[in-house]
Amino acid sequence: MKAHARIEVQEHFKKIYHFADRVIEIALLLYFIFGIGLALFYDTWVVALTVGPLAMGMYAAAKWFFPNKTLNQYIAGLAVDIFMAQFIYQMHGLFEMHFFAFIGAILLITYQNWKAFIPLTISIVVHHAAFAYLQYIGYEEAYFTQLDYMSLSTFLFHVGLAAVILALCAYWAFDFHKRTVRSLLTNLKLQDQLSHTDQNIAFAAEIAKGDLSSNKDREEVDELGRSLIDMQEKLRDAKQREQREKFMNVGLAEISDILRKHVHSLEELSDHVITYLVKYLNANQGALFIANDIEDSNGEQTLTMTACYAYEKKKFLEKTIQAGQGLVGQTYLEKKSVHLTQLPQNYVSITSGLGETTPKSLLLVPLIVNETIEGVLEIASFYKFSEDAVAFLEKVGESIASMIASSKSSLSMSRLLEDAKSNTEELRATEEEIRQNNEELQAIQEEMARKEREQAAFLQAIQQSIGMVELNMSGQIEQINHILRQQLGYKQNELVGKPHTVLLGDGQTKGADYKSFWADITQGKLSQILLELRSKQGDTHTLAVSGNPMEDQQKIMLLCWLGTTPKVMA
Amino acid sequence: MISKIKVVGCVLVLLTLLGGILSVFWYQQIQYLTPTITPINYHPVALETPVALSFLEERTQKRPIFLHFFNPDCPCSRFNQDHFRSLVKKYRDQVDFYTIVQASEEEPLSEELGIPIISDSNGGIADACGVYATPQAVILNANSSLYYRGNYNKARYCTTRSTRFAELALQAAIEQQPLPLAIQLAGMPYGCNLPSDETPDRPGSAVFSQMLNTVF
Repeated sequence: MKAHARIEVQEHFKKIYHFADRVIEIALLLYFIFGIGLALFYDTWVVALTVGPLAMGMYAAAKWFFPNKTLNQYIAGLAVDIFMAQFIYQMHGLFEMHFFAFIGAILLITYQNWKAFIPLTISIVVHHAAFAYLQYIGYEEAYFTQLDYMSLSTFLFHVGLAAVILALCAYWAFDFHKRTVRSLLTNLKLQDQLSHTDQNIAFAAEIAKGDLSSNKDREEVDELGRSLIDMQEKLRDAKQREQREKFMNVGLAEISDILRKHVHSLEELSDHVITYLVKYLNANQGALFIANDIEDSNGEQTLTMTACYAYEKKKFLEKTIQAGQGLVGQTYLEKKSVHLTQLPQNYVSITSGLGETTPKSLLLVPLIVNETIEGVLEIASFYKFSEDAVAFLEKVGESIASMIASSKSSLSMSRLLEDAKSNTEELRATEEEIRQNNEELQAIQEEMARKEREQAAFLQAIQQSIGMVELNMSGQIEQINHILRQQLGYKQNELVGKPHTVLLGDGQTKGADYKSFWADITQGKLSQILLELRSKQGDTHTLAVSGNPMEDQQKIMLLCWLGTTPKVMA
Repeated sequence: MISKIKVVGCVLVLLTLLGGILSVFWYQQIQYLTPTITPINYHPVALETPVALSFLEERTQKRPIFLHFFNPDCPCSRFNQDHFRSLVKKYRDQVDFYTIVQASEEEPLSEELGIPIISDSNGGIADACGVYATPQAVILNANSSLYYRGNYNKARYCTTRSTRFAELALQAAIEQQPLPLAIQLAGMPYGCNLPSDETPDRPGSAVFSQMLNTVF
């Protein structure tokens, strides 16, 4: 039996006992009045007026001493027996007065306590045994029977029947008790079920209205109630999940919007982002630090605070910090979020016109994209940040980092574009210059070609009438022009590589003229001579030859006039 | 936790009350076992003494006479009525029954049974028979001499058949046999004093018990 059921049973039996007490008290009073009536028969006033009140006094004393116990029930049994004795006595042994014991026994059943019959039984056994003993020893003056002698069989019947009646009464009391408890428990169970049903209906109605906040103890509800609690928990989880997702998605969407609008200015972007985040998270203070691409003079990575929200002036002044410096610097190095919930006094304070106080919670989130850290977000609040808030900031951190990276690369791209533009301009100027030069060069080339053509024509004209032999410095023929070769009857390559002397008639080379001529030429002097050139066929052609040394080319050019020998020469 | 003092107190109170009840019963028992107080001016009348009673003079039959001393105010006497009735029914053909009353002239049972009721307001009949209590039976033999005077049985109530002295004496009288010695010895009267013998100055506890009997 559960504790509350036991209490209920106890309470119910208190009521039963209360009722039974009333029954017994009225019965005892009626017994007393009946005793007074009996006194009229044989003037047994003393007994009627003393024994009855004394017996009632015993009952009252038991109840007075132990009001919440069952002692009075046992004493009631005893009192009933005393009254029976009184009545028998008053009627000088009238047997029928024994029935009062049975009336008393029936009344005692109302207590539903079989043990209440024990004192009554003991009392009956004791006084019967006592009188039987008195009779046995021959004492006959006890006025409790009108029989002058009670046989053993009569005595046994008497006692046996009394025992059966008392046993039956005790059994009925026990049975009633059992039935009362059983029916009470059944009632309690029904009440319990009814109250559970009512509670379940109310609970279901709350859920239907959308109130998922009420908490119920699983131990206090039935199976249906537990199912409803499960349902409520599932719905609550779903709602929370939805809220979390909404929180995350709305925040991300709005941040994306902000990022998109301010992609061109890192400062503006930072300002809007930090303002939005502090408000969205119901935080109180915030700052955004962005890693600088250029290291400082000591070669260390630095971070610059690009925006802040409700920051102190002092802190605001420290715009640039080094990697590893403070929590921001440390977060930058570790690339992990830091969530502090127990901030020391004066670590950071949020001030207003009215005063200042220390926030309860500080959150530092690295802005990482593709494993590259772009900066650190720092937000302080009077409330502890939820896991969702941290997750949201980390997620948002990626977007911000990505946007910072994109913003930075956009800046560098535009710088590169500027550079490229100026380079293109330079290139275009150079090209223009080259083009002009080319044009000039072309003009020069055309002039030169014209001149060349003129020279070629000139040379052609010269070569039509002047024989030309090209010698190296040692006098071997390297080239001989067509007209001369034709004149002398040689073929194209027949003379190449041979000494020029093969063209000279016998003995001419030993002449002083020739020698002087050759010496002049080899010394780089222009010289002229009349030479007899011998053709292949052996003819001799006297030709005026001009020797032109070409020192630059280590060549000697011999020119000779193939027309009629001028007379002056001759 | 029940305090021991309370338990002890309760037990003491209950035992005291129970003791009181037993004492009352015991006291009543003792009282009923006490013989009736003999009046101061009592003159014993020996058995076999001739008793001359005026209302007996008109008798024709010579039969034993049974005088039933009855007092309706005496509970013992009232209780004895059933026994008296059985005696009358059993022996009325052999014995002349008379009911002697002092305080009242009426006695419904005797009237019902047709037994003469003799008023003895001054106690003359009682004194003549040596009777000072009710219920008492007096048996005179056919010669009107005192054959038996005493209780109907051992104590005040006729609850023990073996001691129905009056009936046994009556049987002996009818059979005209001498009174058995045992019955003679059992003649000590139990019951109420006769109103004619009542005196206000009786000493000791007996007075108290008498008063109680009278009052209740």
